[in-house]
Amino acid sequence: MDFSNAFRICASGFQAQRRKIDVIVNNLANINTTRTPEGGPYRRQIVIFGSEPITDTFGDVLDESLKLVTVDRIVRDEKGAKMVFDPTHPDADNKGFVAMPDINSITEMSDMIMANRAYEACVTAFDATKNMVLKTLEMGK
Amino acid sequence: MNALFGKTTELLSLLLEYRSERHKTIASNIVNIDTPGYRSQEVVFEKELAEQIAAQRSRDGISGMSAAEEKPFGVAEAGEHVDIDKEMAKLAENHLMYNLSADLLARKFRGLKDVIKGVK
Repeated sequence: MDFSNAFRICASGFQAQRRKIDVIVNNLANINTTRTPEGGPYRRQIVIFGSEPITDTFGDVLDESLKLVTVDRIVRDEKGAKMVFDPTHPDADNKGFVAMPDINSITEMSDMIMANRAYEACVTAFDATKNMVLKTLEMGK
Repeated sequence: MNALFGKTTELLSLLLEYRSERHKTIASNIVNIDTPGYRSQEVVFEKELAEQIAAQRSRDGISGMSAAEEKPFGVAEAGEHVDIDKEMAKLAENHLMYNLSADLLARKFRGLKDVIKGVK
């Protein structure tokens, strides 16, 4: 059906925005993490979106102009750690400073709201698609 | 076929095709709102169709619209960044226009059915 591509485009939007919210929640949850498997404090992660043309199940490009959104990559914020003076902390260095993740909770929250709104926009597009399909089917009545 | 359905069905089905194509393009713009380097796209139709109608009129000397054999529209890059409010407005407008076209086509069929059955 012709509309299945529209559904797939909307679904790719859901997936990408949800992934973005997952990463933001991960950042917020680790706002005070000083120990990570890689060593050092947790580093903030940023989602980078990319677009790719819509393909069929065999991987052939169906339409060059219609683009799905994908999570291109998740990069680590290269900003260094925030040094906080807390001599009682077990991870404090000999001067009493602890390397804390440099995460601003307000930035993360506003990013989350933006991702949420983008998700809602995709839901609206999906609803419109559904409505159009139903209208088409009603035509035969 | 043409005597029964006329050009209305042909034109309306073309219109539905255009609207569904445009819908997909708008959806593609909306989902790529946060994609770096993505350029917004638009289905261009009106200009080509206007040209085609003008050409047909001058050729046949008749007025009235006619649907083309091939799709008289294509996707072009609008060359702007995606503007979410513009896209949402376009989505709503396109959705309503699709419903209108579908409704008109349904009415056409219903009218034909009424004529065939005889309205009581």
